[in-house]
Amino acid sequence: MRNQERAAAVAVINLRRWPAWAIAILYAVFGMSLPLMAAILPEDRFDILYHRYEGDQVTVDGPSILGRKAFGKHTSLYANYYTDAVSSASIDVRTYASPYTEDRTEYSFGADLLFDNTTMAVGFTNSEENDYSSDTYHFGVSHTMFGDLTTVSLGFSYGDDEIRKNLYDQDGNFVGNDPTFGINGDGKDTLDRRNYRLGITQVLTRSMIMNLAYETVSDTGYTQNPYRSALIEQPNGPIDNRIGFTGESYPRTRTSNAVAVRANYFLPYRAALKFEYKYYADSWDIKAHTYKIAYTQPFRDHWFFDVSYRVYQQDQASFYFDLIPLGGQQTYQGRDKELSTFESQGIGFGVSYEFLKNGWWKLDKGSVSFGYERKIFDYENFSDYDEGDPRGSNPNFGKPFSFDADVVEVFFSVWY
Amino acid sequence: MTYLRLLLIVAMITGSATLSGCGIKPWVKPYERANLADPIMSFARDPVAESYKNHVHQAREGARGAESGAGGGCGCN
Repeated sequence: MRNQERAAAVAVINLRRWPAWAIAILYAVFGMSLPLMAAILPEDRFDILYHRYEGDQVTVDGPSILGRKAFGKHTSLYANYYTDAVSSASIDVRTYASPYTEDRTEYSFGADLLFDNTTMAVGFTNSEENDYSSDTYHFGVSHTMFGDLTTVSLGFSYGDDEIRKNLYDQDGNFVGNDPTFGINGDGKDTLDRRNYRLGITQVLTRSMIMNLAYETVSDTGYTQNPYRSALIEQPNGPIDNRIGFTGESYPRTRTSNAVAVRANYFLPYRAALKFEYKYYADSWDIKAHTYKIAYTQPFRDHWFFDVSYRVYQQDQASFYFDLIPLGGQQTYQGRDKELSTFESQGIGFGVSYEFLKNGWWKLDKGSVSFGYERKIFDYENFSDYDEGDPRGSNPNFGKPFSFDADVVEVFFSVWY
Repeated sequence: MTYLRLLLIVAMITGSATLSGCGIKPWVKPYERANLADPIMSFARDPVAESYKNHVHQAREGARGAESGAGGGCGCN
């Protein structure tokens, strides 16, 4: 069904028969004043995407397939299949480990249920690696009000993860999981994740819309990486005769808060200018700012061009150490570069071509899209301690680390 | 539980606003929203691509949450 037709159809929907518990929840949460305006279900569309990330001698690529279909006027179902094929010889690997390859497969499915001007969403995501299993349950409700000028959404996710540690033979082949890994020494550890989301989208003028998003995330359990090491000053150590390895130790809890404000502005000659700012802070003392500006320019009815510039700045976690001083005594210590002080910049470009805009067979339209982003990571206090091959050949040894990455997306979409 | 309480309070305020807001007339009429309804004004025009971008950022940055568009948990190390 065409979007305009669907919007018109749902605008006249009256109160339908729904389970008493659903009506009770909605009434309790929103007062259910049931104004005449109504929300709409997401579009029926099918996307198949190929993604590729390449940087710091790491390649991650794979497909993502997303399909969504409405059934009746009240229900829209979706399913997503996503994989990451990872091949890594990253700075961590080069410093103290062996290159590896691994796969991650993720399945998601869920439903959006439209109830006049309220949409309820439920979903489930499963992600599997040979050392990590993750199940996430999503629930959300959004409600439009004030003549559709304001949409308020609330969301909650619960994640239940199991972490294991892989063992490899001398040739780097996977031979199984470490049976002694985990806080109880039974071969596994767990991570409990809870996300609470609040969003408000507000129409400000006939050409401007804003969004305010807040999310708090609470983790309890194994928050670190089983393979990463911290580096410690050690006069007779194995690297450069002054650096040795020691284990990481992370807190078993982490609570974070993020608030983002976004504004989209429609320019008179049909183009869109978009701004975004996000502030982040967590109980590990990481504080971060994200700034983004994007511009979309349609051209001759079939083409869409996008450009974007994004800056991310972060202050380090309280227990991050580039190099642990000899004899240092601390409860927690880690050397994940994502916990250090750093800045990244991304310049993006995208182009989409729409076809079959007048519809064909059961299709409303189709599009093919290409996106590319060049990302630059500059670490302030994460140093390059890779000796190089042969040993001692890395001219950047001991200097702040930096690298560039290329992110590519190519996808094909049809609407029906 | 603190967060559940916070969300509950926000929901109650929102519910109250809904009830008391029945008298508010929309200052942008439905027939004046052609610009806002244009797909180029969407916060997440292509969900499959938006979800992937969020995943790239989550894997390489310390910050998390309040992303645009859909985003779920991931088991990435």
